[in-house]
Amino acid sequence: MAATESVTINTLPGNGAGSGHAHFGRLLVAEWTKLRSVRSTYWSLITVVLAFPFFSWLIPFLIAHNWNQADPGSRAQVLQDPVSTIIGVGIDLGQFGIAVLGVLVMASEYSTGMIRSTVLASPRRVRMLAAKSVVFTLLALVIGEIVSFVAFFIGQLTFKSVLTVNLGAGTNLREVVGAGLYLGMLALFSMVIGALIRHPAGAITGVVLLLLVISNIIQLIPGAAGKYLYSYEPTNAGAAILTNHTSDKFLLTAWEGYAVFAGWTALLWVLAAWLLVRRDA
Amino acid sequence: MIEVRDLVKRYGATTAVDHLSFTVQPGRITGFLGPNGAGKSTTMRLILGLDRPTSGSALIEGKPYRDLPDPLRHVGALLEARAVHGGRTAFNHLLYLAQTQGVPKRRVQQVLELVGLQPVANKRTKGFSLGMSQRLGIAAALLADPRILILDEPVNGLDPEGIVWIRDLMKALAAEGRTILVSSHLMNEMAVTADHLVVVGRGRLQADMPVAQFIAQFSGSAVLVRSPQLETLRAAVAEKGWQCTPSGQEGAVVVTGTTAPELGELAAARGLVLHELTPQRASLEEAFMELTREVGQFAHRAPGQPEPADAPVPGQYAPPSGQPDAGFTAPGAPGAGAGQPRGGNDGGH
Amino acid sequence: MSTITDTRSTLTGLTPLPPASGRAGFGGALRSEWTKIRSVKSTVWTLAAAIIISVGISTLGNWGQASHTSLSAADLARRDLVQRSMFGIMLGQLVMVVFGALAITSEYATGMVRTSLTAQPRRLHVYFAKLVIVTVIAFVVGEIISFASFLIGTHFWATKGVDLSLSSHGALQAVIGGGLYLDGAALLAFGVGAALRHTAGTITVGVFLLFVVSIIVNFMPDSWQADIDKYLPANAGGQVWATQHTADVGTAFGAWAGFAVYICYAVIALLAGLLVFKRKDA
Ligand SMILES: Nc1ncnc2c1ncn2[C@@H]1O[C@H](COP(=O)(O)OP(=O)(O)O)[C@@H](O)[C@H]1O
Ligand SMILES: [Mg+2]
Repeated sequence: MAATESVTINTLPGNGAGSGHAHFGRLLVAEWTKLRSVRSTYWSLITVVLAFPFFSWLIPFLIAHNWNQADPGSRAQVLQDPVSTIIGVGIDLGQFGIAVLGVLVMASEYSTGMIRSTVLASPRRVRMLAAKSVVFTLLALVIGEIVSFVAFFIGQLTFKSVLTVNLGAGTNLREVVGAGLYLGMLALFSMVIGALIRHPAGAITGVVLLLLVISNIIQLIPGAAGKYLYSYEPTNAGAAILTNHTSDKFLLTAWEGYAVFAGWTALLWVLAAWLLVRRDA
Repeated sequence: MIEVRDLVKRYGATTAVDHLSFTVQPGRITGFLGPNGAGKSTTMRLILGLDRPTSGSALIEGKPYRDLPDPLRHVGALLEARAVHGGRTAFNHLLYLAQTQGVPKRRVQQVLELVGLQPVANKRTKGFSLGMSQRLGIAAALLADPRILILDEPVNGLDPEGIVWIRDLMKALAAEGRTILVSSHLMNEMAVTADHLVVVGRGRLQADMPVAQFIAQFSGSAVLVRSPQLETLRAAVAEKGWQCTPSGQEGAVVVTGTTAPELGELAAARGLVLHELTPQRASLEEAFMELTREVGQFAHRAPGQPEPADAPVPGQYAPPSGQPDAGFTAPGAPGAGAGQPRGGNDGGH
Repeated sequence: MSTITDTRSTLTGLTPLPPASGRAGFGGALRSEWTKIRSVKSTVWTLAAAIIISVGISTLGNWGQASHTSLSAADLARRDLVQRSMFGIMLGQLVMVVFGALAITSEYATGMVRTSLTAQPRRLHVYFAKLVIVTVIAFVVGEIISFASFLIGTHFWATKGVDLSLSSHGALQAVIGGGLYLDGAALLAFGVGAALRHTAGTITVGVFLLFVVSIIVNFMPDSWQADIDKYLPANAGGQVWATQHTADVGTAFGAWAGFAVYICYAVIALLAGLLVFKRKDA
């Protein structure tokens, strides 16, 4: 135990000088520290970093292995959109790592009570949310792009014996870049859901339900209403950027879809910011 | 300086803070005292801008908390010590707080050393004992060298050495001219720590005065007297307008509203024999319990009493019955029950 | 006085305790787990959500399909309308995973597990008491979901001239099976939760096992799919709430064989959870 006389630890230089509001750069650094200092970040990201490229090897490997026995229908499917074949399963799985992490980034502040420390340090709550959003989205985006390209090249190599997939051909590049963009936006989207629901289990359930179930079953709704709901559901819209063939129920182009996903995210972000300011921490 | 002005906070049907006003002056330790559920923590959260007041305001250096630039450089707070991410190390917990305020990394090590957590700086906080968490919370509060400290029950879970340490720490910081608001539900703890008291019960202000004044006002003027002529003495006491209460002992009563010399002189004047004449200094704890008893949220039954007891336990000091709440506010304050008694603020000393 | 029997003791006025019967028994453990689970908001919410979401989606789905189908009554009758009527189970299973997970992981998140194990140091008692309570609650809620979904669904199909009732071929088994399937999802998550002690991780693993593995297998060559597909938890367990046992690729299990395979996954998870619960420091 330190002796009492050391109480007066050195006064901070420039204290009380009023250096203006905690500037945004500092909040970014602090949020980065938070993100890198808990294990769930690593666990979640490892899921993406390992699973995504692994399946981008496995699926092409299995297909190549069976290429000569496969019926023309399945071959045509692969040939129509080889990139989607390479990255499809990997991203279907990898996205859960990102989504769970996104939810935890915000909801665990509430479940641990740490939100109080956070808000004491930056009482301008919207700035805090903005800093968190920037740091986490950038991280997910960078990792997403790297992993997408790595996954693509792995798949490309694995397919080599039976078909050539050229990054420059058709919409291939857009699909690969799009995979990273999709993961980045999904990260922010999930984080916002975490901020709205504030309960890790509840928010994860919500995001997973949306990704796995709701996004699929709304296409069962008959008529034009079903087509609109299916197309404008945030994750369906966002995933349009990952393929060059969408079902006839899908009404948007790839970039329109991504814009819709971004629009949803922005809308919910504003709602989350408003609630963050209004609700007791 | 902290100013709390007519603060109200309701959670649904519960009124946690009820028209509370007081100020906390620099250069001294202000004890924020009240039984469990009195609204101390809520008031602190309102001061810190964590919760939104239903009405009223709380200002720090004349500003709402959220308008403070680099707030941790102005105010250090310890709320629930457990409210940290258990998976993060103590060092990293302090580091991100430091980074928001532009506090150098070196200082994180220094405060960890100060609170004695150096050896576990790189351990995840999940395994910390309550006392260790408390020390981490104190480290966070001191991190950015704040001029104001708000500590919610800081001695919770600390070992005796830790309690003495935090008490000395607060005194030293107050002596440097910092403002310190520290809550507790223990009067005795506050009596040896605080210079000034703000007492709340059920969210309402009960007293706002220097500790010395509180002691003088609430723990004097009761005398135990033993006499073979008890009945005659009772009559004489009643004539003077003083009160007799049973002492719980054979042949003795407690007289309130007077002092030992006065009572001795009365007995001499009447020619009464006294076998004992002892001033009763009721403990501060009793005074505090008495003060908040009527408003206590979680009234306890006295040990050994099968029925809830409204009457004070015989043999204990009780204030004169004709003098309800009004006696518990500082001189110059309007009577309690008016909703918001102004405290006897002595403006520092 | 060796025991405190004096009525004037400090705790006078409280209900006198019955004589201590030795060790805290299984009955007490059961009762306390029941109290714990019903007094927590998140459990009650989760179960309410399971019912509302599942029955709601079943209702909407059947209404939509029945009112837009172009198939004749005879064609419809050849479909597995019983399973289709309980369509909401697809979502409900996820919420049941959350329930099963929270039943055990929330004790770790709050540190309450220490209190539980102080009150009842025999960990197997605590584990099995929890397990029994979770099983029973999930069963009841599961059956509510399957019966409500089915009964509402029959109404929509009746407007199309298809006569469905519990006495239809295989219907009773499938409807009871719907509840059993949901129960199994909760148990699987409970076991994983006991092993991982982390809410988010447990839900993720549950989702992976019930949903995601089928996505992967879908991309495998048909010859592999034929061998693997029917063993996947959702496919094997799915048979118990179906009246027709067919698969896109290869063959499917019968109702109870499939259910047995499905329950095997839960049992493996529960055993893993048991080991961790018994061995590791709380
Ligand atoms: N977030 C909340 N929601 C509902 N009631 C609350 C909340 N916080 C505090 N209360 C209630 O307000 C009252 C005061 O609580 P608190 O400020 O914690 O008291 P103290 O710190 O003096 O023990 C209590 O009755 C408590 O139950
Ligand atoms: Mg408190």
